[in-house]
Amino acid sequence: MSEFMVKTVNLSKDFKMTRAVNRINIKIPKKSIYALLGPNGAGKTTTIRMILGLLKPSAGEVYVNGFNVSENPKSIRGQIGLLPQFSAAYYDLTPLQNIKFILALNNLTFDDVNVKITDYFEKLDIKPDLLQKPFTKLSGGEQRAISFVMAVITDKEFLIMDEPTSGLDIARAKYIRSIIKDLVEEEGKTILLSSHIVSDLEELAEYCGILKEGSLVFQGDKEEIINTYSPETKDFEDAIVNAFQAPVGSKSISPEVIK
Amino acid sequence: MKEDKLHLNQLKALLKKDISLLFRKRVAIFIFGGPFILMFILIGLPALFTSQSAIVLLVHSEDIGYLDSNIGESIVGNISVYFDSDETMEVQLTDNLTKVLYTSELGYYIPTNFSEQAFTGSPITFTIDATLSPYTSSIFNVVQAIASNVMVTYLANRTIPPLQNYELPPESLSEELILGPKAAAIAMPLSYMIFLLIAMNSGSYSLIGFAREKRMRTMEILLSYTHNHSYLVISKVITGLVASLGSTLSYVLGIIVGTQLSGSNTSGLLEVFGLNLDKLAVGDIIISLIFVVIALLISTLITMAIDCNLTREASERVSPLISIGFAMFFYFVVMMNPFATSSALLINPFYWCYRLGLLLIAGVFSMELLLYFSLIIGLVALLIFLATRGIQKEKSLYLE
Repeated sequence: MSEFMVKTVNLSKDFKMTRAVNRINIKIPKKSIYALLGPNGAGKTTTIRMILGLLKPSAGEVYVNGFNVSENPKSIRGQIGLLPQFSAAYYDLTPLQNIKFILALNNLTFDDVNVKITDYFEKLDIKPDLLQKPFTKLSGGEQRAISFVMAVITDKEFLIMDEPTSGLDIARAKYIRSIIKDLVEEEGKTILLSSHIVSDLEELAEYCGILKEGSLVFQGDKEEIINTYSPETKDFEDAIVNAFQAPVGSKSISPEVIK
Repeated sequence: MKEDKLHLNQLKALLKKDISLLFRKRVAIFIFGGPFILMFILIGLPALFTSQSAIVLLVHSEDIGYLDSNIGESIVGNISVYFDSDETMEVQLTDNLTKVLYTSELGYYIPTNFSEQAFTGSPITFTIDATLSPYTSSIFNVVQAIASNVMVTYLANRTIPPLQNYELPPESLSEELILGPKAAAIAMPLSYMIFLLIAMNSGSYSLIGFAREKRMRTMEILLSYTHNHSYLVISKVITGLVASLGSTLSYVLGIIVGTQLSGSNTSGLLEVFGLNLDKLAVGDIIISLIFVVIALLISTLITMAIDCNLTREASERVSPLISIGFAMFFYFVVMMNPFATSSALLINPFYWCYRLGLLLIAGVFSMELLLYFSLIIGLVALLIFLATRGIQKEKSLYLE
């Protein structure tokens, strides 16, 4: 079995005349949190969709847990837990109905996850009466917290989370970070994180990949990005900002840096 | 085996979710309440504000008869018997020509020498007085048909026919001779049902189709978790069928309640479509209903195939038009002539359903039947394939 949960080989995607992703080689080690970063329009969502098997690469390969997704997208269907950037849920249904639907899609029942889900609800301050209201009546933070639960409750080995704490209050954001850490440390999950929130990245990211204009300009662990882009101040946020501002190819580090 | 169970559970979960969404407040009001309210407003409400009494047909015969025979009297008697069981019509006899001529409702007058002129073969006249609405014209068609029948019988046999209930025969069509009276009797109701249900279905496309999933950004979730993407299509198609059958039921109930309020007798669910249980076999009605459902299935699949292959905005505009366009063309041609065959109709999938239904009801097992059967099976398979392939294309992920 592969030591990487995700491995891309010269992965590219073209939309008509635009190259959205340009020959990227990402390696996400198993049981780790990998942050895929980049300014808006850098190609993060397109890359994530290719990893999910929802977009066909124009060139290159994607391997998830050893399966070649580019050749056979069906091979990884149902193997990845997904928390999309926006609260993707059925707004006319209640949170409970939404959760039960996601569970049923994954061949699980509410009883199968009762203990775990009750724990999540407690941590994220989701009251039982909230579960019976239409999703549309919940606040943005409540919707995001429910969406997070919907993604993690399916018990997938590999989870993709796009802005998991966006729109959440400080307490809920803190608990979500703690749940994410537990998922990796205690349950051995692998997480691909896409976020612009520095506190999330500082606390969670073990490895970072920085995309800019469709190219992977940096890939390495947190220490390496600090040493490369902010050697004087040793500040993580500065390092990310500097990496975003640096011209493509100026300080590129070999993708092979993740051993 | 385990994987099969997972797939089946996924289909069940998708179906449960799609059907649940159908019964949400706003959607349910639109799909299931809308047709009822519309038909109630169109038929029932005017009845509440207008007189519910029957239309009066004022009849006066001055015919004095000829050689002991009075044709005018016989016509008047037969008209009275014909409308006797019709609560919407009341035949009143009068002895005053002025009343007939100046009635605000319907008047019918037979002159003094009517029998004599009929006997000698001279042109004969009678007078009618009515507003020129299609409804009143149809009543006078009936009256005239009864009068003609009495006269023809008299002239042929020199006897006045006894009072009787008339079965006015429909116009005979050449194709009818081939397909037989059973197919002829069901042709119009079948075409009407196909058209009506597709029209009902088109209203709910934006609420049940993939366009809504794209709007709610749930497409990514569905595509990531569902192993067999054709289940996404199948679930939507079944939901579409439920929605249109529900809409139609609501429409029928609206008509029934409306007509009850207006004092009419139309109360049977099948009668609304012209399906008369006294004249048609239950088996034939079931066959025709099966083909209505197949036509609906094709209509929903057309929508899904377009919905999946175009972006949200384009699909919301295009898909109802295509289904409705085919259905309207089919219905208007068939309405003119139920047994019409033209090359334009032969490429219409709703016509295939209609024609195959008629052939089966008529018991005509020919190459034509095999052709339509193959075309329908092939089209359904093709549309499922196109829809399933479409949702896997990248366009399905984008809103615009």
